[in-house]
Amino acid sequence: MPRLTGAFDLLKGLEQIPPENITRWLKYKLEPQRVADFVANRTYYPQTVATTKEEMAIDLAILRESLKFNQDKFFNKISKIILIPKSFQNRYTPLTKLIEAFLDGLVLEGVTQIMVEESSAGSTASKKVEVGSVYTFMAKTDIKINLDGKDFILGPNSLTLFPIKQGEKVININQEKFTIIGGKVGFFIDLREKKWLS
Amino acid sequence: MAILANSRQRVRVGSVVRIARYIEGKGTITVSPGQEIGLYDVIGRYQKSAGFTALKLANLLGVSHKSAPKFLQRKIGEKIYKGELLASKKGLFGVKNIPSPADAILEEYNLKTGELRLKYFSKQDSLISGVYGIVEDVDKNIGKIIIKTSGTEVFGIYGCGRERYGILNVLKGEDNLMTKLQITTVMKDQIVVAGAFVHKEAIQKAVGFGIGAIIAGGFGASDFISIVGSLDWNKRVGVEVGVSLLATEGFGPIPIGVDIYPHFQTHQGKYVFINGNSASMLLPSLESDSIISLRKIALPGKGLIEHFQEVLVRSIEVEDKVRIVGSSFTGAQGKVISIDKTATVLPSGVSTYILTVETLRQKIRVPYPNVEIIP
Repeated sequence: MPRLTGAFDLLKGLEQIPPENITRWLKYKLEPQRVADFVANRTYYPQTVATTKEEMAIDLAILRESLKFNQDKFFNKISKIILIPKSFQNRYTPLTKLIEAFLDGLVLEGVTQIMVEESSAGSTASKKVEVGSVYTFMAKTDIKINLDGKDFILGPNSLTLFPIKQGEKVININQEKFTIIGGKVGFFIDLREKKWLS
Repeated sequence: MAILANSRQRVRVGSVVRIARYIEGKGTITVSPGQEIGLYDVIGRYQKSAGFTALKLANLLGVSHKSAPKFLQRKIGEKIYKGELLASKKGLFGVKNIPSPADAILEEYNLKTGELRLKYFSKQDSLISGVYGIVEDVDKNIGKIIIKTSGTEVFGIYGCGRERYGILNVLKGEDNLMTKLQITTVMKDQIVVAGAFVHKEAIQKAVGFGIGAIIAGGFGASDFISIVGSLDWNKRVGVEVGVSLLATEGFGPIPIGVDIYPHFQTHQGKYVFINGNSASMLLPSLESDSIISLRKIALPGKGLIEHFQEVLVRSIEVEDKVRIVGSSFTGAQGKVISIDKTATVLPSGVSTYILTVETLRQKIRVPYPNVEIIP
C-alpha cells in the first residue's frame, strides 16, 4: 500500500536505543518516557518534521544514536565515503549540524569524504555532491596543523571545522602531509575519543 | 503545486463483514445456516469452568499439614455445597467447624502447603449473538459459528493481542489517564475504553482481572515494548499477553480522536469485537433493520475477511479534514482552511509549506508533513 515515508523509515533499530542515550545530547532535561514516545511516534509517522529547535535537537540526537545500527547504509568503509541521503537534507537542518551528527555517530579513521545526494536539474535521478571531508584521529595531546601557511594548535578531544569551500588542499598535521577535499561545508578535524560509541 | 499527505481511514460506517463466534469447551450450537439473529439471541450453550479456590485448611484447624485431612467431612473428589460442613475438629474448648465457602468439588489436598483446593462447579452458560446478522455456517466439531453482519469498523494506529469480544465499557472522558485504581472486577471480559493513556500498572492489573481489551489514544512506548516485545508489527503479531490493546492515535497521552470517540459512546454497554493484531474493531449495527440490507448482500468466498486500514497518498486540498500527527497538537483534528503558496522556514530550520487548520477550539498553523488526511 503506498504511503508517504520519511527520513525515519531509513533508520532501523530505533526501539533499541535507550532513551538516556538520546537525552545525553540535549541541553535540557526530558523524561525518558517522553523521549521513548517521541521516537515511537517518529517510527509510526516517519514523514513528520520538527517544528521547534528543541524537536530538531531530539531528531538529531536520534539520528546520532541510530547510526550505530545503520552505519553500513551511509558509510562505505572501502571507499571511505559518507553519503547523506537527499531526504535527510531538509529534514535535518542546518547541513553542518547534520554532518556533525554523522561524525558523532559513525566510527571513522583517517580521511573520509563527505557527500550528499542532490536532485539533478531536469531529471528524477540524483547526483552525488562533495560537501567536504573529515580527518579523524584520536589525539591524546595537542596537535599542530599547517594550512595555507598558517599554524593552528588543536586540543585533544576537539572537533574543528575549517571552511575550505572547494578543491583539494594539502594539510600538514603533526609534520605529516594529507590531501583533503573542501566543499560547501568544509574540512573537519575530529580528535575526539567518542566514548559514547563504545 | 500539489502537496501530498497520507490519507488514513479511521472509521468505516456500514461495513458488511463476517465474524466468527466460538463455543468455549463442551457445548451445543443452537442456530443453523440461513437463520437470522438479533443482538441478544442465544446462539449456543456450553459448560463454563468457573475456576477454583484454595483454603488454608491446616491453618484454619490449627493442626499440622499432615494431620489436617483426617478432619475433612468429605472425601477428595466429592461434591460439597456452600455452607455445608467441610471440616470439623474437637478441642479442649469446643468444636471448630469450617463450612464450605462455595458450591465445589474437593479437588486435592497439598501436604506441603496445607491447602485444600476446591474446584467450583462448572456452570451452564449461553453464547449471545451480540450482532444483528445471518448465520452463514456452523462447525459443530469446533463449536464455530460464522455470521454475516454489519457495523462500523474502527481502525487504530497499532495494537496487539488476538480477536476478542465483550461488552464495551467507556470510562468517563476521552482524555482520561487510566490508573490501576480504575480497574475493577466488574470489567472482567469487557472491552474497556480507557481514554488518552493507560499506565503500565493498569495494564498489568487488567490482565489479572481478566479484562478482554483496553483501548486508548496512546500507550507509553516503553511500556508497550516491555509488554509485547517490539514496535515492529511483524515481530509482535501473534504475541498474546492476556489482554488485547489498541491505540487510536499514537504513543504517549493523546485523547481519542473526535472522529472515533462518539462511536464508542453510542456503543456503551453493547457487544463489540476487537482484533489487537490488526488494530481494528467492529462496532455492530444497533439497528434491527440492518438485517434487511444484509439479506441483499453476498460476501465473496466463505472464510473470514481480514479488514486492514487503508492508507493512501493524495494531495491536500482546502476543506479536507485532517488529523495532526506531528509532535505539537498531536491528535487534534480540523478542517484545512488555507494552504500557504510559499514555503516557510520553521524555527527548527526546516523549510516547508504551512496549512491553517481550524479545529473546534482554535486555528492552528501546521507544516503539511505533520498532518494526515481523514477521508
